[in-house]
Amino acid sequence: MGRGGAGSDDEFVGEEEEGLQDSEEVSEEEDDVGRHRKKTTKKKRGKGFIDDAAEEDDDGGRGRKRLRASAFIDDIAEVDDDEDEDDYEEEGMDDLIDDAGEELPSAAEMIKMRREMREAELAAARDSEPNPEELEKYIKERFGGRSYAQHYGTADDEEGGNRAVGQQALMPTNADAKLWVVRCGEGQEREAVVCLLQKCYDLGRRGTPLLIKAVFCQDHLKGYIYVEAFKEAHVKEALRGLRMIYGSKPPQLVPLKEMVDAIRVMRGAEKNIEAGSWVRVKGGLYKGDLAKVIDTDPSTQRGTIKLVPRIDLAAMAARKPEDARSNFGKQPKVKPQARPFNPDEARAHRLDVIQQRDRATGDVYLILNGNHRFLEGYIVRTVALKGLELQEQLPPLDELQKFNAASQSDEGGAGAGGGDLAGLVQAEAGGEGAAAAAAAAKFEKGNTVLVIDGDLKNIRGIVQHIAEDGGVMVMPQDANLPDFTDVIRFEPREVSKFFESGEHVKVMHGQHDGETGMVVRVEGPVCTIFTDATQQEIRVFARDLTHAVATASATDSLGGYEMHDLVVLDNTTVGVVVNVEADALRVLTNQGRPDKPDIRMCRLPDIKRKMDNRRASVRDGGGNDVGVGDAVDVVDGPLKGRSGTVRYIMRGFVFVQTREVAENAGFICLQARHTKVRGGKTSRPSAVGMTPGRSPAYGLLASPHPSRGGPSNVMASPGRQGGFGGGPGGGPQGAGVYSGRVSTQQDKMLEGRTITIKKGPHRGMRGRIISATATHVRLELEAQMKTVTVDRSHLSLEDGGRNEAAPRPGYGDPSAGMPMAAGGRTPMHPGIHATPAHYSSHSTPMHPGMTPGRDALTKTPAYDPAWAATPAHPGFGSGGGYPNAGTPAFADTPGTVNPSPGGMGYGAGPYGVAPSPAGYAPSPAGYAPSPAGYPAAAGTPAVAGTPGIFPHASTPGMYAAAGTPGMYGGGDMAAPTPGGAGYGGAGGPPAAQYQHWVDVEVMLPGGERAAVRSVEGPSATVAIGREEGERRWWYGDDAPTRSVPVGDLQLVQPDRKDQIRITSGELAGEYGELVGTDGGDGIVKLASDIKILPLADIGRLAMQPPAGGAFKRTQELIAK
Amino acid sequence: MADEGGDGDKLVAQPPTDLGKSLRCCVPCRLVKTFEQFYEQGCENCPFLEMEGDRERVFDCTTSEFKGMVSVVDPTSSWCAKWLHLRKAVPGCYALSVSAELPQHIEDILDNRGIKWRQPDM
Repeated sequence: MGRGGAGSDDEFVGEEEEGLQDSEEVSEEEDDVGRHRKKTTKKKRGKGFIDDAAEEDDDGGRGRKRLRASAFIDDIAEVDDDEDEDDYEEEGMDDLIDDAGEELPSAAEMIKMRREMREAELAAARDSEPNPEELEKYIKERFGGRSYAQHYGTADDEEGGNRAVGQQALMPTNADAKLWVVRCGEGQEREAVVCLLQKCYDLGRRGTPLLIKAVFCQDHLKGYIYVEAFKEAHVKEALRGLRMIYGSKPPQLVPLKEMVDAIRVMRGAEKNIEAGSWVRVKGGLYKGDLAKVIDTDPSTQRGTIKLVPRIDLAAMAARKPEDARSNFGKQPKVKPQARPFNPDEARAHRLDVIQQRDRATGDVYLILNGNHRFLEGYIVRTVALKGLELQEQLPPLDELQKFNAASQSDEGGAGAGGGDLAGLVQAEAGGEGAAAAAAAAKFEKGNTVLVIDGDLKNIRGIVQHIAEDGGVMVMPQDANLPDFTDVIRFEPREVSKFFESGEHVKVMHGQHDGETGMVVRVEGPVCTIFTDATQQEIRVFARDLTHAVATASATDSLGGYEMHDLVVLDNTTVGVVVNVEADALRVLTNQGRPDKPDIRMCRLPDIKRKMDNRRASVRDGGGNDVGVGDAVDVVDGPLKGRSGTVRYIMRGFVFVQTREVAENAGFICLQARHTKVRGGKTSRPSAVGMTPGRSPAYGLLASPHPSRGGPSNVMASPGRQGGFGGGPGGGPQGAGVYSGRVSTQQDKMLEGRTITIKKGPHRGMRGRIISATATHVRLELEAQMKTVTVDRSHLSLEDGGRNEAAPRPGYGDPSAGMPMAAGGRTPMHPGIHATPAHYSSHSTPMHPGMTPGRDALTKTPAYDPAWAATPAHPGFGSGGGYPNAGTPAFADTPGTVNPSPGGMGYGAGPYGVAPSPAGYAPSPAGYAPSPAGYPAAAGTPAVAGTPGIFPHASTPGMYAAAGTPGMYGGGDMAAPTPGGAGYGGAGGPPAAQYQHWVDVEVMLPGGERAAVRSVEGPSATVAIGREEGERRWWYGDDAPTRSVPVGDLQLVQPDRKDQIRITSGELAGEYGELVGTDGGDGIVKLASDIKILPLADIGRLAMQPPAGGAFKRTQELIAK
Repeated sequence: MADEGGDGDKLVAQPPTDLGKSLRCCVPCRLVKTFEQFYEQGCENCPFLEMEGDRERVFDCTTSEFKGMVSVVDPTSSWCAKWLHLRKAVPGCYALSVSAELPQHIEDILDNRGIKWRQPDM
């Protein structure tokens, strides 16, 4: 039935173009439309209805049916052709007599009645006196005494008078027909409903009525219609042959209690576009532009809007008339700037501009080239409402301003309504019906408000709460009302939010949503804010603001990420959060160039985690160490000459915050070698790993030597750290988690396989997988001496390449079977596990078969703790420097899958080389022992003895011995680290270290306190304490003793004034008293002098002197 | 008109002949037909509106703003018709919901003639 639409579409176009004409014209046009429609209708009927009827006729009853059908048509046709209404009746009658004699009486009667009625009305109108009697008579005559009121079954309906109750009584019952839902073509719902009705009529006339009761469709439910019938068969029968009904799915019964929901129409569920609404254009040249609705015509679903024109007058003038047609409807390649229309400018281009007054509204329109209408600088268009998107809230200020500006710049002050901004806003907020209501401010408890309307105008108050009906309950707080303490209710429109300069606010809505800043100016409803994050002045409606408790940098966080946090985006990308927006973070990453920073909008899932690498360090261009917090100058690159403070260091990049750059919260990201640290730090020898002084976190994620231009896009692998001779950094948790998390179990299975790259720049090459993550794979190419990172989708995984021959590690087995082997607890054998160096050698790509670490780890989780414990060895981080040293992971039982991030990190190490093999692959010799060492290492647990490994193991010892552990130790060490302590003396006899633990109070894995009585090799005898309250335990001579592996022991952190013993370091074994603590350091009073030592090296004595008095034994000991 | 009388004496409303923008809905009874149909046949339920041959009246008494469409085949036994208060209406195509009201001058005319109509509030 949608046919014949073309004709009416044309009309509507016509209407639209001529829409400005005055009402007479319109009514004329209407007549035209009417005529037009008649034709349409006629054509329509000829096609639709007759065909349908004819079709049905084929089944039988042809003659009579045909007659009727043609009568039906001819009737209409006659009427259509007839222009003169007066002739209408007779002609129609003639027609009816000719074609359908049997219907004549009723039709004639009808017409007669109608005439009577009209006469009656005319008479009534003439003497302006109603003639109810006559009418009543007529009605009775016509409808057998029924009154119209009854007609719709309301007032004295059989269901009862009360409507609410009445409707309730209409609820469907089992006796009622059932409702069936039927799939139908989308957009054809109404057609189906109408066709079914027609079909019912047709078949009913033939005496074989369809047994359905009703059919309905809902506008919002696309693709379904409901059919009411008693039986499904009736529904099917009715639907048979309808082309818009899909036969594939049978009708589905609607449950009784859902019937009402099915038929109920949600009223006012969606907001309608109406005059005064703000809308955005959905498509075309003005896509996304703000527009204001002037008028809507619901019947045509079109609306008249005004927007800021985007018209290129020059181009329009240049276009030749003959091109105009061919170019019609095409959009210019470049969107012309939105600018208010200036008729003078148009005339200057020799374009035709005429004025026209709309008689209805009195507005003066300017018509450009006969087809563009302008009003006060805006272009006015009539468009389909579907092409508009309703803006439920008032548009952001900046856009409003632009929109308003168009009017302001109009010639001759035609824009009287334009006014100043405040006026505009006031006008917006003040009225204009639903549009303004929708834009009403959202008040919150605690908002300061100013009453702007009513008796209490200009009174200030604080919102106490919001009533359920939307009323704002305000407690007045005003000098004018000093003793007024009652909460007053206001309508939202009567109050407005109030801010004063200097207040710290947060934007709640609009483009700047979520930003915080300080109010610097208040101009009526508009506040100017200096933002915390971007340090810019923005103008926002006061109604969109709320008080912010703290600055953006402190409170503005999203999902745990805050401004200026360093976050990890993927394997190779990290970045600094430079802005927090409503649902995303703006991150300045390390992937950009200084002149073209890479800013990404990251939603929470895009961000892997936050990083904290405050202790990282890197070399600047001059070879100096740069640490976090150092002031640097940019000496190279496009940003040369700037200076700032290093906030983060990552992979040879530094994130510098500078005052000289306004964007990105002042952050710039550049390569460290382009910077020079201020203050000329002494250049240190560049020996690998010889910079312990300031960089315990050396290898965080990064290549420690960006300055040397080595392959730097890798994460540190533990192996590497080991290779550096146990350099300064035990990786802080960061690196560990990172690598640990990205390589999953499944990914490990890929390692060692040989595969062919299918796509990308390396297409066709084969390589062996060194590591794999969910998205990327690193592989070593067979043909080139190169390791590349390839997207996983670029690979075809071959099965043959898997190297299962990898020896099932002689390594893993012994350790699995012998928990004692866990490095952390066996200082005697530090070489075994403490040297990741040789692990790294296993994973050296050159020797795939020699990667037992991987399998061992995947297959024997018991092994993990061993690894976990490994990093604790101060050999790599001087123990104290290792932030996780104190976590139980290091002291725990084998078999626990370590909870400590650090542990994981290490666990990840061997296979976690994963994300970063490149670092060492190209230069294995740099840190790995000679190949000859591998077999030995892999095959025998007695690795410890292998030269080339041992040196690494002992290296840290050297440091420890040589040095002041406190130097790297201090920092933020969380807890004492037995592992660390134990290792600190690796240079000497390993067990000796624990010997100094005698008399010290320790914590056992079970949480018990104990006093160490003696240490023999790997185990210690401890006396279990009895709690005496207030941090005191009693370790009498009769206390039960137990033998415990030394690795399980954990120092108890001493308090001020506690008697202590130094457990490691130079002064190991000495007794003293803790005078105080300073960060991670303790100030210790020894027999002779006062020393500052890392707290990790200090053990609290089990036997403390009773408060106030000196304890004898301690005294003795001190005296010793 | 053509359908009037039907097979027996039953009065029915013609189904709309078009589904385009010309569809209109009689405000009091919610009958849906095209503008032309209203113009030619008036409203079968509300003859008192006297829309036949009177464009202005058709415009006043009908609206194009309605939601949903229901074809009531058998008003007397249909639950839908009952729920929608169309029990006594003629079979035909109706709107599920109409929010418009009759213009005041039409109301006045009807009042003057003592015709009470009440819009089924659905």
